[in-house]
Amino acid sequence: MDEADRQERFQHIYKDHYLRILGYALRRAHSSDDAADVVAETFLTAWRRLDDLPPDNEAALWLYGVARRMLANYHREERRRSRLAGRLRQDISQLVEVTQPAVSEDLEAVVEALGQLRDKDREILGLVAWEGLSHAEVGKVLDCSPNAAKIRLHRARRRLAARLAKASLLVKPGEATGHTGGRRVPARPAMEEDQ
Amino acid sequence: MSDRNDLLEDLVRRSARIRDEELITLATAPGAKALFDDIVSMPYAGTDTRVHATSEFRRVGADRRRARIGRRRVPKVALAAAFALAVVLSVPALGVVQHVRSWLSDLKGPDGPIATAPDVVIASGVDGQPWEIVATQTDQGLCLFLLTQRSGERVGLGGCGWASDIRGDPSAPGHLHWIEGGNGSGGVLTLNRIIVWGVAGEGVARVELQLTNGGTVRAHLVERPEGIEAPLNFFWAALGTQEGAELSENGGVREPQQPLVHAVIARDSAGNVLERRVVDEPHG
Repeated sequence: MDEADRQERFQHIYKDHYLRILGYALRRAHSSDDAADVVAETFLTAWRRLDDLPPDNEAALWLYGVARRMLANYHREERRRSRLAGRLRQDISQLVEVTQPAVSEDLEAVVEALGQLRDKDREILGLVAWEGLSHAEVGKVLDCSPNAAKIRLHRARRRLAARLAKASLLVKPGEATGHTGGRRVPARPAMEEDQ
Repeated sequence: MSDRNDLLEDLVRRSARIRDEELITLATAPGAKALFDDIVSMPYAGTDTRVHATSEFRRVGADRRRARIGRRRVPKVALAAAFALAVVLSVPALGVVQHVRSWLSDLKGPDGPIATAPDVVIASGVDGQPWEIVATQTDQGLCLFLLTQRSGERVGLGGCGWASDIRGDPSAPGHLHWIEGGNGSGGVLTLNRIIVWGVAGEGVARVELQLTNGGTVRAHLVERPEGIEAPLNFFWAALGTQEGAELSENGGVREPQQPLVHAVIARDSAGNVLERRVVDEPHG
């Protein structure tokens, strides 16, 4: 691949997946600055390893995988800010100030319950609900089989349901649409968690 | 999907801190273009990346640096191990004046190598963590390290005394080999690929790694990097799961139980094999 082809391919990848990776990072990073760094480093990795990138939508899964590992490290330790992400950090901070939504009380309970889950559970739930990935796609991001992804998702949902039950937030069939969140009812026993 | 799963997914979806559609304006914001322009102006695999790598990698004011010397089968390995111990003990260097700025000068210890020329970044990348392969001319010969960070500390894997038997190095007494290295990649746990590196003689135009899983990988070759006095080339490769590396649950690479590289093959510009060196058995 010559230099022009390389740039052209990277441009397509960047254009097609920039917002997805940005959204992915912003939904998970501890701060918008971390998110900007993760986006910058993820695409820098893509640029450096362009030959390794799979085609089409598979590239998005590859990028999610890279971003996931970056985030794991950001969560573990203090990092210097990437100088690549300077301008992006400004953009994000302005946007977040404008769009920061008010979260309903029930959704706060969901956020809290998610926060109590293990990282692996939270990640797989997010990949499905936030990134809209199928089991097969989740498997590619997490480097496991579609079946393993399905099982992990099932277990993560059970654990989330248990947390929500502990928080007295009902998770009941038929109440999923048309309102802002689950309905609070008296607590019921928590479901047994998988170990 | 059951109704309960639908409900759970809906709750999770609506609990998202931010949705993609709220980000649309950022696609055309200056930050997106600036980031793109900065990235494509950067060198990619196989090129000398010293300009950005050093500035991004170093943590200014970090606490004590610590190097961990890995499975490097070069003649100075014992010395390197002693050096590592000295570093861990943080014995202050006495009477040593450092005139050359090098990452090695952050290390404390009486037996540590003293840089005689500035660091040269042979390659760098980000595989879960930023990493660099850094070559430094020292009073103990050529030091070659893979540097990354673990738990906020700089971690080095490598050794000194490289290229003492490589063709092309005028100080080499025997001119025995065309290549050296490729066996001691080690797993630095914060990375998600195994980095393999080594030194090649000036006449080597291509380096291939024969893997223990039967595959072959062409290594990146960095020819005569500026700042290295001896006429040497360097090679490196990043090996992932396809090449037999195993990832741990947290996404970092596992320390391989067995070497991933069986042999290193050096070829000249016509494709002729100059040397095939088995590296998964101790030698030298």
